[in-house]
Amino acid sequence: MNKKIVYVVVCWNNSDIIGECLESLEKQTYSNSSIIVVDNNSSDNSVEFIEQKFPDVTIMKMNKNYGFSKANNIAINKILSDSSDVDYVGLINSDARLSETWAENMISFVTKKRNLACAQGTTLDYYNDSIIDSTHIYVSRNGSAVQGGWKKYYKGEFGPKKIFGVNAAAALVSCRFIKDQPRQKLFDESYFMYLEDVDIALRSTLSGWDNYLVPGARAWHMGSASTSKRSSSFSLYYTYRNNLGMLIKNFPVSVLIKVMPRLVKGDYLTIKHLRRTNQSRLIYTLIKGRVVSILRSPIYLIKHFSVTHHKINKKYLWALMINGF
Amino acid sequence: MRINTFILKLFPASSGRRTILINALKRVGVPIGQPDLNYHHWFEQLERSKQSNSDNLKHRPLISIIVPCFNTPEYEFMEMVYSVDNQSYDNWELIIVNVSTEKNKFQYIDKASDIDERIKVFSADNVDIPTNTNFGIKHAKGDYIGFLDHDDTLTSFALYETVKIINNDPEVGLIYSDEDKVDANKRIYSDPFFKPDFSLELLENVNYITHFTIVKKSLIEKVEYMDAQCNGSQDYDLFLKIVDLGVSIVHVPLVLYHWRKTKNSTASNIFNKKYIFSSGKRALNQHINRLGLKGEVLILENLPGFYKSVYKNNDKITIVFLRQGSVIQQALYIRQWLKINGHNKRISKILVSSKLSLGDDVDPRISSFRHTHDLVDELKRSEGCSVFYNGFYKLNGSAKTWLDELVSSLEKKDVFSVSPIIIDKNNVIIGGGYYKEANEGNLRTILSGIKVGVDTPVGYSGFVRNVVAPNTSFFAIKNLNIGKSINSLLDPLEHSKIATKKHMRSVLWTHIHAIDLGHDIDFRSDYPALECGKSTYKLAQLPEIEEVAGE
Repeated sequence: MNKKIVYVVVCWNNSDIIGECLESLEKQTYSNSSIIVVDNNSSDNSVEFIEQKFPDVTIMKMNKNYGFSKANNIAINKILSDSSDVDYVGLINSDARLSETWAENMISFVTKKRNLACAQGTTLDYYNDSIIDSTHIYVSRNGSAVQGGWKKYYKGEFGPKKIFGVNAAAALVSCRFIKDQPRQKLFDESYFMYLEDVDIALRSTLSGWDNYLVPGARAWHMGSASTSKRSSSFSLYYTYRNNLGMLIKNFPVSVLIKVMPRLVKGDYLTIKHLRRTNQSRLIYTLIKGRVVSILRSPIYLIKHFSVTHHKINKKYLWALMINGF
Repeated sequence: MRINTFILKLFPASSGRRTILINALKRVGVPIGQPDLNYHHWFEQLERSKQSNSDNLKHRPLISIIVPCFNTPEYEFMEMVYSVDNQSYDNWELIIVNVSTEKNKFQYIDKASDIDERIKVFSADNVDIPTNTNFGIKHAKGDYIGFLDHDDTLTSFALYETVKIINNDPEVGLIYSDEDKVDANKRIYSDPFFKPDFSLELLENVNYITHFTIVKKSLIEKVEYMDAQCNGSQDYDLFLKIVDLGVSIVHVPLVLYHWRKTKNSTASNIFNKKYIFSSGKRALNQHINRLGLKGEVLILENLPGFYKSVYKNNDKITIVFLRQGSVIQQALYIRQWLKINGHNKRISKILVSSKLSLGDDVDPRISSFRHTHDLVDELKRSEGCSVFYNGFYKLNGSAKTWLDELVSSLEKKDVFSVSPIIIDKNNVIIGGGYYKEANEGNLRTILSGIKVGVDTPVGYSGFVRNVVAPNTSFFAIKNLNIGKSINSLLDPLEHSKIATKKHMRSVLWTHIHAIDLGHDIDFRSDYPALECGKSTYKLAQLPEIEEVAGE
């Protein structure tokens, strides 16, 4: 019980769903914890609702919508500067909830792993216990990010497994890893939305840290609850806009050279698929995203040189990029 | 791979030119075409079905896995370490004995202890594999020791399955499992080896146990750890010592270990490492001594890693030719047999049916019997062993001492009967031993239809095996085990029941190949001129058998 964990939940007009999330955090059997909610200038009554129902929760009120990455970074900065005895940060989405023993299972597992950056359990669909939301995330050999296990049937607990990266819906991050990041910033704020957790996955795995899938740490996640109000072209645009930059920033050149032809082939196949499934209007979004990512690539080229020197064995990395573990 | 697929595209599919090209390239050794992924997919399904937690185990002992690491390449090392780290069973420790001499390799091996607190790295000076391993065993705190090579991987359910066995049988001394191969560069699994349940005769033929093996630590201490003098076959020596302690040996019928196909492995340089075979021979000789018996171990030159362990005794041998074929056929056969084998001084009696007339002066050891059931009394009065012939067999390329070799397996007191492996003219196995089918319990011939001397997923087809019943038309048995009726020995199912009742086992001795000549023996091609009575017939001129019978 001597490791301290602080949960960080970002809220943006989520008053309808954040109640269950915070309730599950307060019910954790592992008691050496505290909760911070970062409110991205919600226009509904989220803040009043939390202040009333969950008085023990610390609320950080932002004066504008800083987005997911920056909001998390602000909270983590406060945690690290307030007290130096916090060992783990729990990143929990507002549309996720945890089982009672999540923290207990997690912490008993991660205390054995000195080299651990992030950890997650098998996250199931919020409304259907037999469908998986995610087990891990990874970048495949054609450069695209994949959410492992998505929409697959749950047939038994996975792990423990060393995985490529962790889905930020219900994740545990070690403060040792955060302190090792440039300027102690966990998330890269240049992505407005999408692929920030993949960026963390790449950064951690490529510099020799380990990410794990922990058996028994159960969480449930709705998936895209906050953005489902927008169209799917929003997510598609931002994914393609961020993808190239993420690859340029993180990958060593030799791996990038191997990925590029596969990336082009992947785009071609995606466009073909969109035409076949009568979604041709999204092709424009995809191309626009790619073009913008090429225009933004100098930013990430500069960031490439500030990233920690690559430590992972390149053959092992290439093998990891098939299934993510 | 890219160049190969490009070349293939120049030749249209299903054309004769493409087949010729593929065969030519395969013979040269170029990896062409897609690898066979049948087994790989089967294994992935197995892994998915075994992905459960290990919560339902009552007894959770600490398992220490020992890995001596000498300049392990980084990719292989990472795969090995994470394969232990990702075990579903959690009470393990990984002892890495870092004996690397290259500085950068030493460093990343040393850092492995950061990955998990159960991984412990000890540095030492490199001596040889047994000494390095013993160093690791002495630092181990677990009750059980598992052995892992520095570039191989365990399946994620390996420790769970072995601890399940320990829960069922707390006194088990050694547990071994099946294994398969993993590609040098990718995670593609192939070439499984589904091992038989524990067989001492097979262990004396080849070290088939290899990986993945877990031994109780107290037993390793009892046999004084690994013997540095058996460097090259130190695990073989250890297993033989553990087996000779008489503890229970259990086989886990699951693939728990992936053996990496790399250029650094023993297999590719095996012809250069002759010290492996001499130390294996040494280990086997010590094993025979421990059993209190006399014997001889031969290294099989054309089969690296295989040995022939022949026990010695001076028992008298009785040969029994049961009535088969026509009178002339059998007479000719027996005369030819005596010409080839009659010199053996251990043959004390040759029993032949009274219906045959071989001639008066063929061999003084011949005596006749009227009915099969008379044989029991005859044999019970003699000591030693008997070899039963209930058909016509010709030995293929066997040594002159084949008869001594055949009965030598009976020297161990738990061995009921032995038979050689029965093949046809094309070297295809048609008999030799029976196994019991799982569902109905029918007896079927082991490896029937497979050529002798090829690798199969159930092992090399030339393995010496324990069988439920031997080939009952050509087998050897000790006279004191014969029992009440010869006919029950001649029926495989009855034979197996008698052996099981006595808690004994039968052996398929594959070092001797016997061709089944059937009943349509063509003496003309198989046997040269025979002496028959007082005249010599050249077999090309031998008239129809029926006509000669009247003579």
